[in-house]
Formats: sequence, structure tokens, C-alpha cells
Amino acid sequence: MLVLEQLTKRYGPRAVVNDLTLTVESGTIFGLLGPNGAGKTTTLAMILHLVRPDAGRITIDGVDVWRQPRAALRSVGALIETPAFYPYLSALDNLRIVAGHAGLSTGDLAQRLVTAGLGDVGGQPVGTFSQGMRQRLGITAALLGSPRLLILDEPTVGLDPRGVVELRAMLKDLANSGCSIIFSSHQLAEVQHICDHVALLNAGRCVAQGAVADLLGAGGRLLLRVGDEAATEAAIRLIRAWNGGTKARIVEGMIDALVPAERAAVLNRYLVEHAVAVAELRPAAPSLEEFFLNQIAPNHPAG
Amino acid sequence: MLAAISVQFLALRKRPLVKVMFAIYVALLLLQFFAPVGLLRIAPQLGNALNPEAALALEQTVRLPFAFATIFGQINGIGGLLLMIIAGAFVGGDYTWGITRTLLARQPGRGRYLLAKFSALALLAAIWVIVSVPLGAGCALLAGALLDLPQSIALADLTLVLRGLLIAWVGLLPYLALATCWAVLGRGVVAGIAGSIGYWLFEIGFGVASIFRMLGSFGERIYNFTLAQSVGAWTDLTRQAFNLDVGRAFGQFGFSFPSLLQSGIMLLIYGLLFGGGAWWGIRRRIV
Repeated sequence: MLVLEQLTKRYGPRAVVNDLTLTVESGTIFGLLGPNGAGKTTTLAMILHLVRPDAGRITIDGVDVWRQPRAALRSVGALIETPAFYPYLSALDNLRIVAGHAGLSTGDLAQRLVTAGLGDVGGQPVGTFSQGMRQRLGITAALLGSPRLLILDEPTVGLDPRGVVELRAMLKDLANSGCSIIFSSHQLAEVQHICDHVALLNAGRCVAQGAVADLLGAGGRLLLRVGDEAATEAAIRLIRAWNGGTKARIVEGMIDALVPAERAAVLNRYLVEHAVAVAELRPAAPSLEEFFLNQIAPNHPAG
Repeated sequence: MLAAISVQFLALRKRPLVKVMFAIYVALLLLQFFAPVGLLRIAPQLGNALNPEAALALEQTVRLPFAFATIFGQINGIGGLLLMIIAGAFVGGDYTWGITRTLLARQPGRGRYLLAKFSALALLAAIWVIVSVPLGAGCALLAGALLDLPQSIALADLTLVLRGLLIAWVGLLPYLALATCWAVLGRGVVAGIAGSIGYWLFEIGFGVASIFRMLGSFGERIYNFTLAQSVGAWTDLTRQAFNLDVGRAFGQFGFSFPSLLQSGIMLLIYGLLFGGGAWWGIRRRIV
């Protein structure tokens, strides 16, 4: 289990990561989301003992990463930022180097390349590889030593659709075998597919975290249809005036209101009391993308 | 640790830059031996014969066993510069390409990683030094034959060669540490190469100014504490053993190498300074 407690990293006066606290349980796939500059890569680098935190604590299975790095990170595999390798060396030699430094066995490296779909090009210099091939090699390197915690920073970048599907299946298998996975990505649909839990970072702070299903369920939006255009205009004025001011907008003839699903009946009664007949009322099921935009741009959906 | 050194040496020996630098080194070694052949053979035919004293001195540089002084001079001269470029590129390249993160994310320990890289460089330097001797001796045999010079190697010469090998190798290590230190502190290839060459040029400039009496006696005393002078005091032992006394030649300018004790202490201090700087940089700085 990975625990981050009040983690802070500053570059000059700017806090890149600010008081970040989160927990990644064993066997879960945890998505770390956020816009550019949110602090995702810095957070991952601090977990990996690459960037020193200014404050806070990181533990893996109770062992402090910054006090006992070798013990804490013994069974951690990582792909951080872009997959970086010696361009003049072959894929096989690059894996040998990673394994040799980590004190891991080099016996099955050729087989691992075959599994990664790089068997035919294992002897070619990595400098000749496409982005997708480098990404596959980076993931293969991260998986050396059968890690119990896998940290993947933007692992789907450059992968073709088949590669993405294979990666998704592999990560699910790993999680089922008890491996925890932290997965940072901009591809929110992918994260929604793969991750059980997510944390959303913005400007170094965690603005939301929890199970994906809970976060999307707690998005708190209702979609309403009330009849013609005039009735819709009247209804949206009522909703905006309701409860001290509620955010709402019209989307394709329907009213999209920022109201929790459990208050649907109360809203319906309020509209009916004001002579608005509600033809359709249902909770909006937001995608992770919509949730993300809502959280980092607070004016959405009222616009 | 041995596995880490072994894979670092793999990365080093397959690096194209190492092959390019060694090719340059061999070319310059050939030039060192065959340029005198040209001067001694062709110049007289053009009516520009050297005076007998100069011709004898030139013949000695390509004739065994005296040619060993030439070989060792080449190792610690141009060889040191080329190895320093390799070291700067090798250590700095990991930062430039982002490989430092890939490797350190697997927790080999930062000190261990740095030690593996430096050990690989030291091993390359040892091979470089060892290969230079038969290569240079082969050139000397050929050049000597072209000039009809008598050549000989006694058992005592081989003992001196072995001592010379060790001194030459140890003399290269501070330069490798210098380039490593710059590469780690500057986190890149450019810092590794430019920093170390810059320092090397600074010492050459200091030396030239000292020889031409531009620094005063205090400046000259300070110059004797530089890395170049400290290495020079030891490598001159080999040159003297093969009858090429650079110290004596410099003495004509009222200039001498520092004592072996002083230079030994200074080499230790430089080693600690550059090694410590690199150690501090790799442990404390963001990778």
C-alpha cells in the first residue's frame, strides 16, 4: 500500500505539489489526473526518490521512501516521463542495463521482448524505434523483476489502438494478481476504462479523489426536459433562482442543472409548484472528462 | 556492483563516440611516429636537413626503448583529453537522454550508480593505456626500420613500462573525475565536455603564463599546485626513465615540476574534490 501524507514540493515560491495526501490500496489501478503543470510527474518522481519533497512523507508498505529508499522501492517498477534508453544500443542491451543496475535476472529478457511484441527488433538500436515501440520497451523495462507497485507516467502515449487494448488487459491482470498500479494520463477515457480509483490534481493540490464510480455518481447533475422553448426559458430562470442560486444551462433543448441526483424529487416539486410541467428528469451520467473539466473549471456547466 | 559495472561498460564500449575518439587517438599516434620519419627522410632530399643534434633527438622519439616516453606522453596528453571528452559525454548523456531517471527509478542507489559509471570509465582508460603500448611499440619498430635505427628492449625496460602503465592510468583518473563532476553538476553532455575542457584550457593558459614569467614568483608557485603539474610530476618519471627529461627541458626556463610528495597529495585532493563534487551532485540534486 502506498501512502502520501501532506506531500509538498516547491520550486522557488511556487508550490508544484501542495499538501497532497492520498492512499493507493494493494491491487488497485489508481489514476493520477490533472492538466499540464498540475504536479503529476513531480509527485511520481518524489515517490520514486528522484525529486526530494520539501515536506510530507511517502511510505510503501509502511517503509519510508526517503528514509529507506532501497527497502521501500525494492519491488517498484516505473516508466517516468518519456521512455529513455541508450539510442545506439539494442532493445535487448538496454534491458540488460536496466536489469543489471537493479540487480535483477537477465535470463528471460529476450522472451520479455517477444511478449512485448518487440521480438523481431530486439537486436536493433533503440534510436531507430518509433514512439510506440519505445513505449512498449519502457513498459517492459518497468515490468522487470515482477514489481508489486507499478508507476506508469502517460503509458499510452504513442501506442496504437491494439497496443492500448493489450496494455489495458495487462494492467487488469497485474492488478488482479495483487500489483498496485499508479497510472498518470491525459487520456481520460482511457483512465475511466482502466482505473478503479482516481485523484485529480490541479495546481499542485488534490481537488478530488475516490473510486471512479463514486466520483462520477456524485457529480450531481440532472437533465430536464420541460416542453417548448418558452417553458424551458422559464424553467431555467426558476432553477437559477432556486436554493440561493443553482448553476444550469441549456444543452440541445434540455436543461443541464448542477443538482445532486438525490434532490431530483425536490426540484421536480419546486418546478411543478411554479407551474412548470417536467416531461423528463434524469441524472446526467458524466464522463470522467466532464467531471475533470467541472473540477478544474468551476464555472462549468453554467458557463 | 559488478553487474552494474559490467552493464555500464557495455554501454560505454558500444558507444560510437568511443570508437571515434580512439580512431583520432590512433591517427595522432601514427602521426607522432611517422611525421619524424618524413622529416628525417624527406627533408634532406629537399635540401633542408636538420642539424645533427636535432636529428638525433628526433630519432630518439621513435626508437625503442626511448620511444616508450613518446607513447606515454601521448597517453597522458592527447589521450587524457580524448578520454575526458568521452567521460563528459558518457556521464552527461544519461542526463541529456533521461536515462538517469530510468536507472535510478529502479533504486540501484545513487552512489552505486555513479561508482559503476566511473569504474566503467576507469576500466576503459586501463584498456586504452594497455593497448597504446603495443600499438605505439609497433609504430616505433616500423618507423625505426624505415630510418634504419638500432632498436632494443631489455627486461629492465619492460619493468619500467609496467610502472609507466600504472602511472599513466592513475594520471588519467583525475581527468575522468573532473569530467564526471562537471557532467553531474551541469546535468548534461555539454556541461561535462565544455566544463572539463574549459578547466583543461585554463590550466594550459596558466602554464603558458607561468613559463613566460607573466605571473611572478607567487603565481608560478601556485601553478605547481595545478592538476596538470601534479600529474606531470609523476608521468615525468616514465619519460626520465626513457631518457626524455621534460623537467630538465623546462628547467632551461627556470621552471620545474613539484616534488612527488606534493603532487601526490595534490592528486589526492583533486580526486576528493572532483569525486566529492560528483558524489554530492548525484545525491543531492534532482535527476
